[in-house]
Amino acid sequence: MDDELTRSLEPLHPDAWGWARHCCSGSRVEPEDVLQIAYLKVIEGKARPSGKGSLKTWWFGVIRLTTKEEQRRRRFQDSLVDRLLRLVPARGEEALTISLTEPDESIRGLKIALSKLPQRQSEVLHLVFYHDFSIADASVALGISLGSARTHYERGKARLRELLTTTEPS
Amino acid sequence: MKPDPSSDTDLKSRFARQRRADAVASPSFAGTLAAARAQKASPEEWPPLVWIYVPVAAAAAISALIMPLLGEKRTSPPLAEVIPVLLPASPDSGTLFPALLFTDGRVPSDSVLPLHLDFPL
Repeated sequence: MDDELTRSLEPLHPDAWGWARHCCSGSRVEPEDVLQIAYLKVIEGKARPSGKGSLKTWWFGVIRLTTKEEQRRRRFQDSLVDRLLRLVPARGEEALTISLTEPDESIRGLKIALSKLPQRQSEVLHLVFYHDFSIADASVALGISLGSARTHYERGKARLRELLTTTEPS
Repeated sequence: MKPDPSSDTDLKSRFARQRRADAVASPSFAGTLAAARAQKASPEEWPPLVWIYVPVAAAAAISALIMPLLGEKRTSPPLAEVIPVLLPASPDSGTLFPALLFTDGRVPSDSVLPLHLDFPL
């Protein structure tokens, strides 16, 4: 059963990687780690398709939740108690490293603009434009209502256009 | 590339370009799965909850040592030391003073004499 499920996830792997990268942008969590942990959940039987929505929407939801868990874990590791116990300084924020190291200027501009949007808006836009999700599928993957997803989509798109215009005045 | 408000093609092309760039950097499925299986085989040496349990246990042990010491310091003083301080002034002290001035200075032996007043004997 686990092998069957992992095999069915193979065609989704490149898209899962892109989604994990988006979820991890602006944080110090690595998308490789998130994908590994998500696959581990499947192998151990901790993550099972619920039957609500497609396999892809379920898998993207798992990746999103795994990213959140990892971000919480990293925050705790950087907390004062942990630093005192380990006697090591906090690691520096790397929020802007992705945008600064991106060689393609167009992609860099898009990433910077997306990072300035509220998280939900950014997620909905990424799912719709990057992964060709319908707004309904995006709402399932994000665990929000269809109406909310529509609102995030419209507001996010308008704001993204504004940001792209201001970052590229010429 | 200037965004075109009339359609979404500008946004779609931007995201498509990002998708192509991400696909190049994507790790292999087999490699990621193998790493996940290896992670299962060797779980973390220090589970995250240890960082909660250890400080709580240490705080409990320290408080268990300190609380008895604090309890000893808080023992109340003997009752005899507290009572004279708390005694109210005698209601008859105003009338008692002039009477004493005209006597031969003998201290009355009754118990109504206020103890906190200083008599010129």
